[in-house]
Amino acid sequence: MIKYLITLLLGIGSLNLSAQISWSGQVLEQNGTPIFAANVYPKNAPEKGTITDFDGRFELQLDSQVDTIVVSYIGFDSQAILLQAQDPKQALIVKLQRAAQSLAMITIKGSDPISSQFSVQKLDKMDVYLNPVAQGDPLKAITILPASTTTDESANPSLRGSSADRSRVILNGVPIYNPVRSSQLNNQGFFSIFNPEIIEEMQVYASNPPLIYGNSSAGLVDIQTNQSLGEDQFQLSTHLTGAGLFLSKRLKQDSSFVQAYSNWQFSDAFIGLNRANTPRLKGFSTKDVGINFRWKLNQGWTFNSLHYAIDEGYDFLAASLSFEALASAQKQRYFTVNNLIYNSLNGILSINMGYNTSTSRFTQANLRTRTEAEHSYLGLNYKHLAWRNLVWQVGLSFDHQNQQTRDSIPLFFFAIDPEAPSYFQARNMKLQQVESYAFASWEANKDWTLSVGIRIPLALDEIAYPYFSYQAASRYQWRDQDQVLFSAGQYHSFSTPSFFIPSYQLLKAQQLAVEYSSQQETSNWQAAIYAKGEQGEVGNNGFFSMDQLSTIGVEASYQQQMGEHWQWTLANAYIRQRMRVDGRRYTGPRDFNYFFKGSLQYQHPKLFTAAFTYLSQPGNPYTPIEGSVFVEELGGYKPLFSTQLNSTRFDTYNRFDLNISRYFQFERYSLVAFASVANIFNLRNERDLLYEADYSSYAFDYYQLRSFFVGFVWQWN
Amino acid sequence: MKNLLLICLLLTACQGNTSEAEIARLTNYTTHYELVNVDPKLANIEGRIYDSFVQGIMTKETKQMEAIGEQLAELYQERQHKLIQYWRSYLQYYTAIYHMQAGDAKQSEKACDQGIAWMKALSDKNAEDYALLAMLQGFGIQFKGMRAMFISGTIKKNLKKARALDAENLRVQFVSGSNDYYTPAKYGGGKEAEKYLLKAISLPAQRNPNEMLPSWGMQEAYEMLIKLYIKAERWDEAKTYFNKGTEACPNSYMIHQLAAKLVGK
Repeated sequence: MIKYLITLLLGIGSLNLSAQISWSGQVLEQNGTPIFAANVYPKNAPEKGTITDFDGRFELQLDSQVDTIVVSYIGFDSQAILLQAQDPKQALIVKLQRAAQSLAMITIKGSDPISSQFSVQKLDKMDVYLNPVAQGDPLKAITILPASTTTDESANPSLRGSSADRSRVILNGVPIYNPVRSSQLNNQGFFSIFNPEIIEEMQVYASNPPLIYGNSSAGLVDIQTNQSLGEDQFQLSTHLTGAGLFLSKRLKQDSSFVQAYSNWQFSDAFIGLNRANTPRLKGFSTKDVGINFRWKLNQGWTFNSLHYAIDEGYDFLAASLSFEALASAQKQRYFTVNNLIYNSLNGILSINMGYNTSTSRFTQANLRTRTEAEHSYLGLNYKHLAWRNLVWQVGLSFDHQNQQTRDSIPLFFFAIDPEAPSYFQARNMKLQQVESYAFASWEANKDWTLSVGIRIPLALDEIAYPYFSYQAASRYQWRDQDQVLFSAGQYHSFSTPSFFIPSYQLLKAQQLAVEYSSQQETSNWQAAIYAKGEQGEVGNNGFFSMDQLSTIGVEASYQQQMGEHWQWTLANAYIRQRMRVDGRRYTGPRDFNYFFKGSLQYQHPKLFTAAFTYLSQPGNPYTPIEGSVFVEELGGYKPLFSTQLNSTRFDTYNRFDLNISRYFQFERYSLVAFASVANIFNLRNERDLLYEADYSSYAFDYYQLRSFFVGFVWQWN
Repeated sequence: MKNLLLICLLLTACQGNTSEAEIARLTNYTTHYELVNVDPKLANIEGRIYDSFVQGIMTKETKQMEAIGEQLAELYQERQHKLIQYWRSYLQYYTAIYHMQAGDAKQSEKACDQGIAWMKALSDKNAEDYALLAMLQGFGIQFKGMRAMFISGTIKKNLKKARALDAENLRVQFVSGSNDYYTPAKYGGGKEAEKYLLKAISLPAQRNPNEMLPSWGMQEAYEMLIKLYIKAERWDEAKTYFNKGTEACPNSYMIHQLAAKLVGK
C-alpha cells in the first residue's frame, strides 16, 4: 500500500513538474517601437520558441521547469529574462537594446570626414581613371565638374569663380599648398603632385569648405589615401614624356601595406612629335619618388606615413607685355604627411603632421628669384561617435609657413628685359596660425541632417586683428537618390605671397549655396545656385589689386548612360562676378555668361574606351592698353592701361579633346595602351597679348595647341 | 537536356533551399509559431519565393512570383515594416534572374533596380540588409556598363559595413565571396573569394530558427566554392567540398549539378 502511495505521490509530483505555463508579452525597442519577428525561446531549448507578431507581441507555452527565456533579433543585443522573477498573469515587456557598434563599424564610419555628407562630389581612383578630362590626374578630374572655373588649363582647382589660392587641397588632414607641378607648363603632362594609385577617395566641397580645416575661403578638396589594399601590384608605365613604376605590397592582411612609386619625365620625344605646336616649350625634366606606408598596429591604432620628393626643371620662352625672353625654372621639393589614428568604441583620435620644404629658382632676363619655403603642420582632432545620430568633432591646428625670397626684380614691372634695370630684394615672410575648431553633425531624422562649425584663432603672428569663421549647413534627402544641401558661412584664409603682394594677406569670404543632386541608376542631375562676397587684397597683375569680389552663380549638369557602352555629360554654369578696385566696380576675372563642358564616352571592355570632350566659355576678361609713354630712365615705353578694368575679352575659348585607351588581359599581366589628342582642331584660344615695344600693336599668345600623347601601362598582380 | 535539368531543378528545389536539418527544426518550430497571429503572407516566405521562381522557370510564367509580390505589397500597405521590404527585394532578385534567363535584360534590370531602391531606402540597415543590397547590386552591375566600376566600389563599401555589423553571418560572408568571385581580375577580383566562402559554409544558416528571417546562402556558398576549385583545377578540394555540400544540403540541385564536372577528375 505504501508503495502505491509513494508511486502516486511521485506521479503527482512529476505531473506538477511538467505543467505548462502560458506566458505572453511584447518586445519593443528602447523608444517603444514594437519589434516584429523577434525570437523568444527557452534558453536551453531554442527550438521551442516563438516569434513576435507585428505589434511585437508573443505567447509561449512553457514547461514550468523553464527558468529563463531569451529574446533576440538581428541588430539588437539578446536579452535573457529570468522567469522566476516574473508573474505569468502579467504581460512581459522586453525592451531590446540596439547592438553596440563594433570597432570595425566605428572605424568605417570614422574614416569618412565628419562633413562628408555636405561634399558636392566624391571621386575614387576609378572615377579619376574614367574621367574624360583627367588624363589620370586626381585634381584634373575636378575640372569637368560644373563648379570648376579653372580657366588656365592647369590642375590647380578654381571653384565657383574664386581664385585657386583661396581653395585648399587637403591630404590626409594636412593642407598641401601649391599642389601642382611646374605650373607654367599647364596641360602638357604636368599636373598635380598626387598619384591616383594611392587615393581612396576625394571629397570636393565646391563652396562652404568644412571648418574642420582652416585656411580656405572658397572651396576644398579633401583627399584620403588608401585604407586597405586588396592585392599586391606592380606597374610599369612608359609614355611620350618618360617612364614610371609603381609598387604596392601588402604587409599584414590588407590594412597594412606599402606603396612606392617613381617617375622620370623628359621632353625630347614630346617636343619632337609636337614641335610645330609647342613653339614656346624648350625642354623639361622631372624626377619624383614617393612612398606611402600604412600600418595597422592593432584593432585601435593605425599609422600612415607618406613621403614625396620631386626635382623638376623646365625652360620655355616666356612673354610678358612687350618683352619676350627665355625663362628657366628649377624646383626641388619634399613633403611628408604622417597620421596616427586611434579608433575606440566612443570615437576617433587623430594626429596629423605635415612638413614641406622647397627651393625654387626662376630666371628670365632681369628677373631672377630664389625662394625657399617651409611649411609645418600639426593637427589634433577628436571625433565622437557615441550617439547614434549626433557626431561631433573638435580639434586644434598649428600651421606655420615661412618663405624666404632673394629676388632681383625689374625696376619697372613691365620691363622684363636683360638690359632693363632691376633691384635686389630679400624678404622673410612668416605666418603662424594656431586655431581651434568645433564641428557637429546631427541626423535629425531619416530626411534631415544638420551641421554647424566654428573656427577661431588662438594665436597669430603679424596679424593685427582677430577673425572668426562659422558655418551652418543642412541636407534634406527626401528619397534615397535626391537631396538638397543648404549651406552658408563666413570663412578666412591667407593669400600666398607673390611678386605683387609679397606678404601673407588675410582673406575673408561670406558664402551661401543651395545645391540639388539626384542620382539615378543610369543618370545624374546636379544643380546649384550660390552667392558669395570675398574681401582681402589680391594682386591681379603688376598694376592693380582688388579688395572685393562679389559672385553670383547658377550651375547644372546632367549625366546619362545610354545602353551598355555609351555615356554623355553636359554641364553649364552662369557666373556673374564684379570686383571692386579703389572704390569702383568692374567685371570680375571669372565673369562668364556660360561655362560649358560636355563629354561623350564609349566603353567596351573588349574593344576600347574613348572619351570626346568639349569645353567652351567666353574668353577671359582683360584690361586693354590704350597707349604708352616713353620712359627716359628705361629707354623704353611704359604701357598705359585703360581705366576701365577688365573691359575687353579674349575671343571665345573652344577646345575639343579625345582620349582613347585599350585594355589587354594576358595570363599574368595586363596592358593598357592609351593615346590622346588635346585640342584636336588646333583652335587658337587666346591666352595673352604680346605687344610691340611701343604698345602700338599686338599679337596673341595662345593656350595649348594640338598635341599628341601616347603611352602604355603594364601591370602585374 | 536543358528541360531535363529544369525538371531536376523543380523536383529538388521545391524542397526549398534549406538543409534537411534546418527544415526539421523549422517544422518543429512552426507548431509554436502558430500560437501567435502572424500574417500567413510571411509564413515560410523565403521558401515560397524560391519555389515561385522555380515554378516560373518551369512554366515560363511569373504568375506565382507576381502573386507573392502582390501579397507582400498589400502587407506593406498595412504594415510599413522593413522586413517586408526585405522580402519584396529578395523576390525582385529572383524576378530579375527569371527575366535574365528568359532573355529579357530590360525587365531583369528593372526588377533588380526596384529591389535596390527598396533596400537603399531602408533606415538602420542591419547586416542582412547590407548583404541583400550588395547581392542585388552585384547582380545589377552587368547592366550598368560604364558605371560598373562606381557601383563596384559601392558594393564593396556595403559589404564592409555588413561584415563590420556581423562577420559571423553566413549571407554576409557568402555575398562577400560572390562579389569577389565575379569581380574581373583586372579590377582586383578573385583573390579573396575562397576565404569568404570557406567562412560562409562554417556558419549556421540562422542562429535561432525563424522562418520570417533569411536563411539562404548555404547551398549557394557551397556551389560557388566548388566552382571556384573547378575553375582553378584544384580537383581534390572540389571533390571534398562537393561531398560536404551534398551532405549539408542533400536536396540542392545547385550542388548536385556540379557532379558531372567532377567525374573522372
